[in-house]
Amino acid sequence: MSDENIMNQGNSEEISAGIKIVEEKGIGYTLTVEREDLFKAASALKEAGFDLFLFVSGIDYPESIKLTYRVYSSKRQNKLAVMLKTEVPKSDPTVDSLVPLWSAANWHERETYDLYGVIFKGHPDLRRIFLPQDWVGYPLRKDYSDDHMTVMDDGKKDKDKAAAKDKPAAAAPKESAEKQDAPEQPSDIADANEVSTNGSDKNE
Amino acid sequence: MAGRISNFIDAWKSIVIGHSVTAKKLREPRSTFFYPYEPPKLEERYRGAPMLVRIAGETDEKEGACTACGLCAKACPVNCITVERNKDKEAPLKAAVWNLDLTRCMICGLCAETCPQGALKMSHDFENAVYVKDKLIYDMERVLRRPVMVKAAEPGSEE
Amino acid sequence: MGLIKMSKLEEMKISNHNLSELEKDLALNGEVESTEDIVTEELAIHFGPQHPSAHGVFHAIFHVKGEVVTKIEPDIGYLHRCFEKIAENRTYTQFIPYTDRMDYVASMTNNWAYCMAVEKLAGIEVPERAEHIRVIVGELQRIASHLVFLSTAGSEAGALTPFVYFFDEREGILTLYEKICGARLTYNYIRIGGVRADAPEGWLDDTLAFVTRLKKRMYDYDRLVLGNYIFKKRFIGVAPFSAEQALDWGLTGPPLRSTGVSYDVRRSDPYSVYPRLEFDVVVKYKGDNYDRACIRSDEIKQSIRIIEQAIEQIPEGPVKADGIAKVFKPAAGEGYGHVESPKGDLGFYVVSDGTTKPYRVKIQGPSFGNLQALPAMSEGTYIGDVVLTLGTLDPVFGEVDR
Repeated sequence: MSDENIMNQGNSEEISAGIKIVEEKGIGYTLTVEREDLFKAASALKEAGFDLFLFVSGIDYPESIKLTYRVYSSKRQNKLAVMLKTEVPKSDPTVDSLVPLWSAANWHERETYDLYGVIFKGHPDLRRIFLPQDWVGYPLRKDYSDDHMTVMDDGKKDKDKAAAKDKPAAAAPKESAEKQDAPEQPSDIADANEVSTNGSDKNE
Repeated sequence: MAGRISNFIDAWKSIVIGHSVTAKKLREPRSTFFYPYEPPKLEERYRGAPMLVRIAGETDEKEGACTACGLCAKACPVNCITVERNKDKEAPLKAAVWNLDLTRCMICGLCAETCPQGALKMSHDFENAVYVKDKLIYDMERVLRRPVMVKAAEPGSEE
Repeated sequence: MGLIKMSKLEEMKISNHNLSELEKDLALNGEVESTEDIVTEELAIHFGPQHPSAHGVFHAIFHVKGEVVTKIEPDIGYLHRCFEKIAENRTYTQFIPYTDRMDYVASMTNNWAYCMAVEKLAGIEVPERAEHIRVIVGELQRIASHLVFLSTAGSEAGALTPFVYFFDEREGILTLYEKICGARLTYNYIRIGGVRADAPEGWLDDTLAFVTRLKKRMYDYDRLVLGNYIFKKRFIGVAPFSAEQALDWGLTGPPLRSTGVSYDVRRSDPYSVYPRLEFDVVVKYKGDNYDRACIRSDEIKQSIRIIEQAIEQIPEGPVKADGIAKVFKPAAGEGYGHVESPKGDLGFYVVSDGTTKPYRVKIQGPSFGNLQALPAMSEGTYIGDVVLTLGTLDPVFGEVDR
């Protein structure tokens, strides 16, 4: 953040004192800050004319969660959008909420809380948004798992698949005997039900 | 009062416009068809359930052009295809098992796109409703029972 | 209407123009002379999750006083499938069919945005012909989506006949899509580095014929729906939003442009061949329901212009970039691609760790951002107008919940 020789560096611009956006391959202009400075940097962006909040995204890494915000300016002439990046450690995933600056951050931060467990300090209504309120765990973390999940590995086939493989010889060609096929099902269906009822509470 | 009169005129104008548009529409040919009695016109590229293609005159009834390379199974986003090659080393490269779980299939067509032999294609079958779910798990016999098709000239060029 | 207590109404400082007009009407007719004694309690009404005019599975609790909505508590997530998690378990190509299932009224632009993000990540150049085809199908998709909008907006205000006409027109687009990609709703047509297959023989001519016919008919449809007396009465002046509010609440797409902010990704962050095409970004200034409806109709006309130009300019050549390996494995990095979908700014943020599967795919759905503004937009309006306001935001819940 405290680079001094920043002017005339080609694809970069100093928005305000100490806040410099640089162009990054693939995603455009970015600004990376420490999480303590996030609110300050965001305020500077807001003052510099970035008035439209587009999204916040978490990325789960083993030790930390990286947050990427995207803001757009309807007033500026060039360098219209900026990705604002920060990082929070997994042991203490808290960061300042940007709702005071952009009301639009409300649902987006709730979404990130819901799926990543990042706690936004100062958010007016930090609840889960997609999942039920009593859901346990944060699904988009890499270590999340529950019984509903089907993970596709290249070599392995999941268990439904294995079951399907055994069946068809018996099941497929019988056109007429629909009723007779029905009794064959229950064992599988019962299994499926068992799995789905006790899901969700496993993690954490 | 003036407002009421203009409201009255506006309202009647809307009604007249509505009727005139409807009158225009009446002269156009109908755009619906009586579905169960009249078969729908499907375009050539229409994607229905996947099917295996037989090369007319080349392979016998049970086989088809599939060489069981397994690329379709790998390309499938929902893992609905199972392929196993026959174990006999002397026999030509053919599939021993080729199962399609249509309950999962989302008919995206990625399998047909990857097939290097042009042996797998999207059929025009769209009436796949059954009373028992098991019937949607197709084995090779079932898949091959579809109409005989001639293999495409250039593998991978179709769809 | 006799139940509204006038003093309470004044307390709520309702800035709605329709309401004050109606109040005047009621006062003229002598219907609200002695309402002082009538006590109105605040009610909580559950709207949805399965409500025919909720545009999907949307649950909201409307707190109403009389007929005036004082508070809205939206509750979403009924269609949540966590595509972002699914994406981490699929290869780059395998995820394309899933994007179809987000905004299912405009699948093509979803495909496009995702593929564009991956192309930016891997630095792939798309051939000219493929770009032109993308523009044509993308603009057809915009027309189709806006036609669905106009039909549902009309039917919510009671106009059921135009519903059939617009769906008839949309049928023409679906048939064109069936010809080019084989599906009518979940297209799975755009590929990383190009499109699935070249347009079949005669498809461009069919498209041109279709848009030419639609251009003529749009005149009638405008008069039929947007010029209709009842439609105007229900839409003009309802739930107005200022540019500041719209930006603050993160609106994108037609709802934002209806407030006077000219934010259109096709112009602000040009992609594909749009810089070479002539078209206007439609902007309206009042930001009420009627402007939000009109803007869609005008955009259809602009889309027709774009399609005509694109068909005229389309070069011969390949439709898929060379050198894309069958096992697609981009280098580690990040890519963000966004397009102007019919609903707004649709973006995909793809992070790669150098394997065949994306490390993270973030989907920025415009419907999600737009729906968020519903409480701010419609608190203080009548409960009957909330459905219209929801309709003019045009959310698709496959995209809101993802």
